[in-house]
Amino acid sequence: MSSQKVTSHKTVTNKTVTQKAARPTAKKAPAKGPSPKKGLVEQIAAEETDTLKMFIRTYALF
Amino acid sequence: MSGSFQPEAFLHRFLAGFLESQLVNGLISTEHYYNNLGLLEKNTRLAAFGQKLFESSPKPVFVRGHGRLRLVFLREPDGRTFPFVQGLAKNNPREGGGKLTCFVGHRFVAGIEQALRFNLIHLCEPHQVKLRWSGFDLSAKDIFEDIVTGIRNADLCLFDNLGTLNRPNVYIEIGIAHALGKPMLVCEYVGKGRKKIPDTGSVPADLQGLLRITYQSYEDLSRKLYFGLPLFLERHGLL
Repeated sequence: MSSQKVTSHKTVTNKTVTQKAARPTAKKAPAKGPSPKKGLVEQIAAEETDTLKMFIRTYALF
Repeated sequence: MSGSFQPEAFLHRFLAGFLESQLVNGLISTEHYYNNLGLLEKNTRLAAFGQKLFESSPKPVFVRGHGRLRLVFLREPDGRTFPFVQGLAKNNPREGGGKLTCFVGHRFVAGIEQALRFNLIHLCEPHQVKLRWSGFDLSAKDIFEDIVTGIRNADLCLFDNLGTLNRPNVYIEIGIAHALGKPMLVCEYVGKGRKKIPDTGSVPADLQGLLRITYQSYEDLSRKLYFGLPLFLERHGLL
């Protein structure tokens, strides 16, 4: 009896561990576009390749 | 005006300074910086655009699809002027509310007062920042209370220490703003020509952890303030 209980417990434990490990992989999404944490100023600086336009976007669009 | 200006050379220096501030503030990588600097050197439209800015001044020049810029002449404390490129905001209200209020503390000397106030109005306008000036005399009790109220009600503060040696008013205001936890820009004059304005002190070492801007002239200060202001506002949740 005692031996069966131990086996059963181990099985349940293993399943739980397997499920937990699988979750983060399933939730991962491909990183596309600017990070949502990036502020407006950082986005303008990172995206613009023309200094004059970067300047205008920083000061004239608010 | 303090001298004649080559529009293209001026605009190039101005934009190169802006680009460098983006690099120093960590907004762009060194690769991005050198790429853009190279493109700036090769930009053939810059000469015509610079010319147009000077010829149209103070009327704005519209850049299709981007916005309006204009060339203005800001002031040094001794009355000389220097050119400056000002972005003109659209009339849209600030996201999440109205204007921000900035409490400004400085030495009350005619040259400083007129030049600094005139310059700051131009520098803060694109961000819809309303300026509130410090009182004249800290010895009067009601004025002191007015200053404390002004700082408490402000969203941010700016202090200039030009000409403040043995004049502690600005430093007292810095202490009040610090105690009230206000975002603050502390401008420290470090120009070689201190002999021209001999009674300028220095910002105490224990205040140097605050956002301290060292400058050699009001032209230098104007650029550093203007280029640093968007990130400062954003980092304090004020943009």
